[in-house]
Amino acid sequence: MAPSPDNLLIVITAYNEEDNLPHVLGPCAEHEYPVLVVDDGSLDETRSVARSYGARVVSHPMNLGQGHALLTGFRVAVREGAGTIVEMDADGQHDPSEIPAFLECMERTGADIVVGSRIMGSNHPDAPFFRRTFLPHVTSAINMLSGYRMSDAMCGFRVFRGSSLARVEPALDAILEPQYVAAEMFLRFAAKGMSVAEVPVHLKDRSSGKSSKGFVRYGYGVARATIRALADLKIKRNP
Amino acid sequence: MKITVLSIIIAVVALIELIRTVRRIRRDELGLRSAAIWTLLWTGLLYFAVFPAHLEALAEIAQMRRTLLFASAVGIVVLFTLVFNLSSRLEKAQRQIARLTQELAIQSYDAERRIDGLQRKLEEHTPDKQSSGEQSSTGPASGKKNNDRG
Repeated sequence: MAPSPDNLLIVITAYNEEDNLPHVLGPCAEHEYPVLVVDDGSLDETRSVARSYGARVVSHPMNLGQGHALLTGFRVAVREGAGTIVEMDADGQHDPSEIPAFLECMERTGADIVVGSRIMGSNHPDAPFFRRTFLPHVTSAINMLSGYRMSDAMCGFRVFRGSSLARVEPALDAILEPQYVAAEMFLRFAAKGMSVAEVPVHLKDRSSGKSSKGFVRYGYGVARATIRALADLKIKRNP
Repeated sequence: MKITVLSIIIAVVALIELIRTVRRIRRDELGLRSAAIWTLLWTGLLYFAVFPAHLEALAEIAQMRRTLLFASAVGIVVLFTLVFNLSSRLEKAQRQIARLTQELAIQSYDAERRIDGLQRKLEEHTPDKQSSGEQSSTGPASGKKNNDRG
């Protein structure tokens, strides 16, 4: 039996994603999942498109970066008492039909966070060169620093236990990185003793447009976030 | 060390900047810390441009033979310190702006939710409109019913 999606909230951060949003909000509506879209100061019709699909929308008056947008979404979700918070990308690459697998894994392992792993997914061999080559190394570095044992630390498809996020809310406030938040988030969550489990995910192609995360920017952003977090933290090993 | 064309230029620039600093202080455009730093900096520059012999004496104390080299080294250290302070304050301001923006967004969201709730209540109490079959939805309706949690 699939775990109940009661009290679940999907948080999607979006910046100028009017074309892609229908590809992710449509399936979410089909599965009857409630959605909170964090519009990160979009200049297009992202907000109205999200609302037309029945999603709740919280709008940043200016663009702050995906990391800050995600934190806004977490804050709203925690304040509204969401029991399970699902983080998904707005580009239509994540399939909401995979959410029950996350919930089942969370229930089975008791983990605070369930991370989607593209590397464990069946279509990983067809992934772009950058992802295939560098993702394992970036993940290894984050594992080494956090004590986690993940195969893909950078996948934007994750499920958080609401009560656990509420418990570590001050750690959210301490996050410095505006854009590439994953590395810093895991380092800070590890320091708070949050546990992580993984499930395989199958990534679809981006529905339209190009990602603004270029190879160099991405690498620099992740390295910067890691160094900043380490400088700001005395990291505890997660058993 | 005699007064050169360069020291005259430095003195003039320092004097102009000192006057500008004083004007900004009078207009309350500078905080106490910035006012003290910039007044001290321009006054020092003006002083050593007018009395280069004193700079020479300082260079000797620092055991540097060439006065110009000493002045450049001091200048670089001062500039690095200023840039570091500036970037730290900028980063702090950025964080504060981000936090404010997030709070503003959340408060707007709360207000919208309250207004939506009131509108729904109002619609419930106006049976005429409901019975006439008016619909305000602009997009796919399938998700509407799912997103009205609290």
